[in-house]
Amino acid sequence: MRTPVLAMLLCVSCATPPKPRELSALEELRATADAKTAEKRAPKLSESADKSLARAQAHWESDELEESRRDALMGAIKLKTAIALVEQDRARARIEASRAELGRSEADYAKFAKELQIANEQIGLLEKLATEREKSAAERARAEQEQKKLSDKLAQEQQQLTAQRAVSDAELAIKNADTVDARTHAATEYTTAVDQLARAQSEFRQASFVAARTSAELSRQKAEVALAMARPTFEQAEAGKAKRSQDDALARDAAAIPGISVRLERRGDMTRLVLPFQNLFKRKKTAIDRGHEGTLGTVASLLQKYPAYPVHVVGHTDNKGKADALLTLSVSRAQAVFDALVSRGAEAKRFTVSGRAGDEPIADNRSSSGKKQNNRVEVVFLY
Amino acid sequence: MGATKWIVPLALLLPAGARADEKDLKRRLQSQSSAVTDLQRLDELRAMEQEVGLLRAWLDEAFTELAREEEDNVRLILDRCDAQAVRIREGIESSKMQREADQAEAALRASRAKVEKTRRDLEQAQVKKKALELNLK
Repeated sequence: MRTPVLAMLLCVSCATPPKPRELSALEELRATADAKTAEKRAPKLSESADKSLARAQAHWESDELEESRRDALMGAIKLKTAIALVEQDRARARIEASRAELGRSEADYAKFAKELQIANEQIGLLEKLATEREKSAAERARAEQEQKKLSDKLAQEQQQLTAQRAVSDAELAIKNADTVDARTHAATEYTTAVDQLARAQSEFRQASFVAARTSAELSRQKAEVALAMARPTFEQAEAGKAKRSQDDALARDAAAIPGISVRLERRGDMTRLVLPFQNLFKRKKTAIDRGHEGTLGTVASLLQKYPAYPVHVVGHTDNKGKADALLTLSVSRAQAVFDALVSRGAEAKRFTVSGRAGDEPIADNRSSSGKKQNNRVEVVFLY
Repeated sequence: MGATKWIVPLALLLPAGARADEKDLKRRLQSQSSAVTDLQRLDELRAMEQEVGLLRAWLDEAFTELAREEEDNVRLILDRCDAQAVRIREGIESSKMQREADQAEAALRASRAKVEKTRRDLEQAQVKKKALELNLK
């Protein structure tokens, strides 16, 4: 029983004592990469630390723990000092690298900042230019708007003027139509023209110039159509009126000739104003007797006054004698009157001359007064 | 016998030498004590606070050993304190340099960020400029 206990005690006394904490720490520190680096950076310190470590390990193995701890502490201090130098080198390298890089970075910054400044200045100028352009465009637009306003105003005035002119033209056209009494002779067209004119005037008052112009033009067209349609009828009517008036004047003037009893005969649509000359010739003579110049002159003047009427000079006789002789006599007497009138200024081409012998008596041939009345030359105005 | 003849004179001389040693150790101890305050002041970043603490503890131990007149121990501890003071100075220097390196790197990062921002601003400005030029054509 004693033997194992003694053996155990012997083993315990021979066993290595527990390693001091300081020694373990130094060994760990020595194993680090920093410690390896420190060998080169601070060889003396590293060497000194290694010596301390060796001593500490030797003291520990010799069970001199206090000495081992002391040497381990010293070794750690030396090694940590060496590592601090390594750290300083690293820090220095970082500082230098950072500073060098900072220099490049600052140079880059200066370059970019300068480019940015230039770009910003250019942008400023471009923006200013854009603003100026916008301003200019706005001014141009405003000017164009003003111009458009003026143009519109001018156009409106032009439209007003045109419409006014069209209305005036229509009014004139209606007045023209009035001159041919289109109200009567082209009632539909005329009424339309008047209505359109009224409409145009109303539209004009409401400042609807385009519509007013259209209505006025329509009115003018209708009025012109009415004028064209009414003119022939009107002129015909007017001509008839004038003719009638002239006819009446002719009849009045003829009736006023002393010694002539004019008569008016109607033959269908034709009217004959007959101026019978009696006692112009002596018995069976063909030369006009003296004393009738005044009457012939008056008739010649009447012919000249009314130059548009065709004139028929017709000789008549009584029925005493041969028919051929009577016819020759009547013709010769008609010719004599014709000559007398032409010699007094009447236009020859208006005349037709003929003789009727005793075929158209106006009185009884049985009495001498009747015969006298039948021996006559009639100047007949035909109309 | 030869050795014995030296023992007496040595015994006479020893107290005077020991006194000188003690004085020197005290001076070194005193010097180290005041140096601790300087080191603490230098350690603005408090990176070596623990190491300074150890130094104080060892100096205290040295004072104790001195009181016990264990001069050898005092000497050994003082040697360690000297080394520790050097280690602390280098550590302080190292921490300062690391701080300086950190600052330089931070400045570099800031500068790079500034460059990057300026570069982006420049790109945007160039795009804007091109757009304006196109609009103005």
